[in-house]
This record gives sequence, structure tokens and C-alpha cells, in this order.
Amino acid sequence: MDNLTSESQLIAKAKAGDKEAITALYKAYNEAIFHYVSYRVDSQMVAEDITAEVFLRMLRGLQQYEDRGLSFGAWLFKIATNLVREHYRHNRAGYVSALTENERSSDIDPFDQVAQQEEQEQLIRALHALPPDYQDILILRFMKNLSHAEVAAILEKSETAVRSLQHRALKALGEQLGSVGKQRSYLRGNRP
Amino acid sequence: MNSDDFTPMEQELIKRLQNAPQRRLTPRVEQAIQEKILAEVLQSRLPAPPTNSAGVAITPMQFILGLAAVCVVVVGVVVAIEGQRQQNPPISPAASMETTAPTTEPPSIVTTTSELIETSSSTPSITSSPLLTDTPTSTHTPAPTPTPTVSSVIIEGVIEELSENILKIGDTEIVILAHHPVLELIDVGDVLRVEGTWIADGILLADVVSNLPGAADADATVGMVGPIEFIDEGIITINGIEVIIDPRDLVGQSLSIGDFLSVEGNFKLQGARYLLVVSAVEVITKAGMSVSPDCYYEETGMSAMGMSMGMEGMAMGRWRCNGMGAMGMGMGMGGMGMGN
Repeated sequence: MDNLTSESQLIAKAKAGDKEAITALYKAYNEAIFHYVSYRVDSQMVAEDITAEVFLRMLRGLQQYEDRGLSFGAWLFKIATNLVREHYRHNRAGYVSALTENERSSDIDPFDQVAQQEEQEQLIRALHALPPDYQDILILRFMKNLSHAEVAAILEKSETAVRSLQHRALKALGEQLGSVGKQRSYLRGNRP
Repeated sequence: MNSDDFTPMEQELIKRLQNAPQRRLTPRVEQAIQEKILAEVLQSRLPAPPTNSAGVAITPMQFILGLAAVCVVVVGVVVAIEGQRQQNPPISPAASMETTAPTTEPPSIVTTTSELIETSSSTPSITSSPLLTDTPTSTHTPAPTPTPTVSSVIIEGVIEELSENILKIGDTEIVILAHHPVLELIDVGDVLRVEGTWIADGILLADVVSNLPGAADADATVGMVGPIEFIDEGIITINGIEVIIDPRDLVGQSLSIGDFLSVEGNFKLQGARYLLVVSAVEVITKAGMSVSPDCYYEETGMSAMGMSMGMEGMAMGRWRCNGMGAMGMGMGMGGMGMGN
């Protein structure tokens, strides 16, 4: 997406049923949405399902969408956060493995790939141990670089609450990663 | 983020989050979702881009007024038809179909369903003009959320041409979603039954594609035979197609790779993947036993999906068995297997 004007033009065309505009919006946001969802749920397949559903709901709700302070991207994230919550309401199973089906890129060094996977797994485990609001704030604020205002709109909280929550979420994440790190080092026989 | 005062430890965590490995949709799944969305666009109530004959964009107000006018006309027509119905005997299904079929009637069109007739008479706004469903003036406008499942036409016939996801039966071109696995199972010369909706003159978008004769009366629309290639957490692969069998099915519990099966079921889109959800399964021969000479492996070359998506493990052909339908053949061969 080059600028906001072109995005609003795309949205207008998409509302009129223009397939190319709908495809362009999908292509512009599918990666970001999938990235968010894949850090919030247990498996690749579930993340794919939810991502697909986000865009189907986008399509169905497009006529009602109006930019009233909530950008189009933030609106999509709002749909995604609702679907993730819906998923957990219906499926309370714990963390299984989010990495089993992760795509392996052939142009990445295999060692880097393993390191990336370890990092990803560690982050996901730590994130999943946090309350849902903390997870959303950390992913949306720092992984997706959304503003306080956007996160506040998505999570239906005040900006002040988001500012305060992000510190608590970071603290909790630090504690989780610390404990994960200790556990891993113990398992490897490197206990100090 | 600059306005926040983060401690060095927080900054370190933020950096770690920002550099977290990015997870991406595989190209195949990305494409499948895109197609799913576009299929919904085709079938949805989204209005077509409104333009006048000069190609100039019409304002929303003009569009709404136009819709309202169309609505009034259609309501008038419906009232007139209803009045005529009360005076005359009910119209035949074929006559009802005339209103939705394109001008060139394909020779292989056999019927419309009674469901269609009921639908078109009770909710004319749905079938007569997709534009009407978005109009705020219509009290019968359904919520735009569910995917419409009403098929306007059924075609049965022999596939005369097949090019990627477009096939021809009679004069009708039938468009199937590009990565629908049924494309792996059909070929020129096969008899097909298609339920779909007209998207243009003489072009039908397939909602249901069946390669089973008499599928109209059965629970299953798709049948295939072949050996089990993989088994993975309850999902088995036959002819490169993922098949799911009810875990309570006793036959399904004792399957192993190499078993030659005959399955019938329906393709269901689960998230971004099509799975053949099996309603009937039969083991023709167990792994290691010879398969009937009536069954053969047909090379199909590079599969369309494999070529475009670079997918691994895609079937390059499929198993076929001459003669009977899948389940009938299964029963016959089961007897042969026991004899050996």
C-alpha cells in the first residue's frame, strides 16, 4: 500500500465489488494478519483458518466499514483479535506446537533456520503463558508496530490503559522468557 | 513508541519482539484463501461496480435510486406472477428455469431442483437479481454473511473439453475453483454432474461437482479408488488427495499404507484446505495384495496444482478402475481378494 489515499480508493472499489481491489487488500494485509494470528494460536492450520475467516469477514463487513479513526488495517486486526478470542472460547486446549508445519525457506541457512525456530518457539511459549490482553498488546504494539491509539481501538481500551498495560505485559514477558531460559539451560545440563 | 520511557530491559524485549521470526502463509494456502474470497465475491451480494452506459461512475445516491426502481419493478413482476399462479396451475420446473438460464440453452442441462423452484417463488429477490439483496428498501434482504448455497442449475453430461479449471459440457463452460481437488479426479470423457450458478452467458460457476452417477440421490458426490499413500493423524492420502474418515468407522481404524480403497464422500473446505470427508469406505485389497487388472494408474503429467504452486508430493496421476461404480467395484473385488 503506497499511501492512505490509494488505500481508501481500493476500499471504495472493493466495496463496489471490484475483485482486483479486494485481492489487493488481501495481499496487502494477509501477511500481517497471519503473523499476528500465528503468534496467538496453537497451530499453523488454525492460524490459516482464522486468517481465511478474517478476510471473509472483511468481505462481508466491507459495506459497513468506515474510517472513523480506526484504520483499515486496525479494523482487520480487530476482526482477527475477536476471532482468536472466539477460537479460545470454543477450544480451550493448551499449547501444542505452533511450529510443526512452519514453512521452511530454502534460501535460509539451515543453522539460522533452527535458531529462528528455537527463538520463535521460545517466544510463543512465553507469550502463550501470558493473559490474552498482554499477548495482544505485545504482538500488536511491538511486532506489528501499531500505535497506542490503534491498539486501544482494537482492544477497546483507553490509550492510557494500553500505555500502562504494555509495561506490565513486557515485565510479564521478561519473567516468562527468563524462566524459559532457565528451564532450557537446566535441560541442557548447563545449570550454574 | 518514542513517547514511551522504556527501561533498558524493556527495550531489549521490544527489540526481540520486533525481530521475532516472521511467519508467512505458504503460497499454496495464500492462493487458496484468495480463491475462497473471490469465490465468495462471485456468489456474494456485493453489487457490481455501478457505471452508466458511458462508463462514467454513478454516484451512490443515483445507485440507490436505481436499485429502488429495480426493486419496485421486480416486486410488481412478482405480484403479477403470484396473481397469475393463483389463476393458473403451477408452472413446470423447466419453465421456472428459463428465467435464470442464459439465452443459449446448453443441451446437457437436465433439470433444476425443486428446491430452486421453491426458492425462486418464495424469495424472488434472491434469485432474480443479486443486486437486490443489498438494497436497504427490501424487507426480504438476507444478512450478507452466509454463503449462498442455492444452485440455479444442474448439468449432467460428458466432459468434452478440459483445460485447467474450465471444462465444457455441451455448449456450457463450467468454471471450477482453480485448486479444487476434484480437478485431479476428472478427465475428458468422464460423466459429470455439476450444480452451479450462472456467472455469464453460457458460463456456469460450479458449486458442486460430482463424478458419481446418481449422486443426486446419494450423500456422496465424489468417488475415487486408489492405494493409501500416507496416513497422518487421521488424514489419509489417496491419489494425492487428503481424505478424512470418521474415527468411529471400524474400517478406518484398521487401515495401513498401501491398502487399496474405494471411497465416496464430499469435498469440504476446512479453513484453507479441501478434505474429502468420507461417507462410505471399502477396502478393496489389503497392502501387498495384487490389485485387480481392471484398475490401472493413469499418468496425468504435471498436475496443474503442482506446477503452479510448486507443491511437494502432489500426485502425478490417479487410479481408475474400469466397469462398475466405485463402491460396486469394491464389493466385487472384495470377493476376489478373499478368493485368493
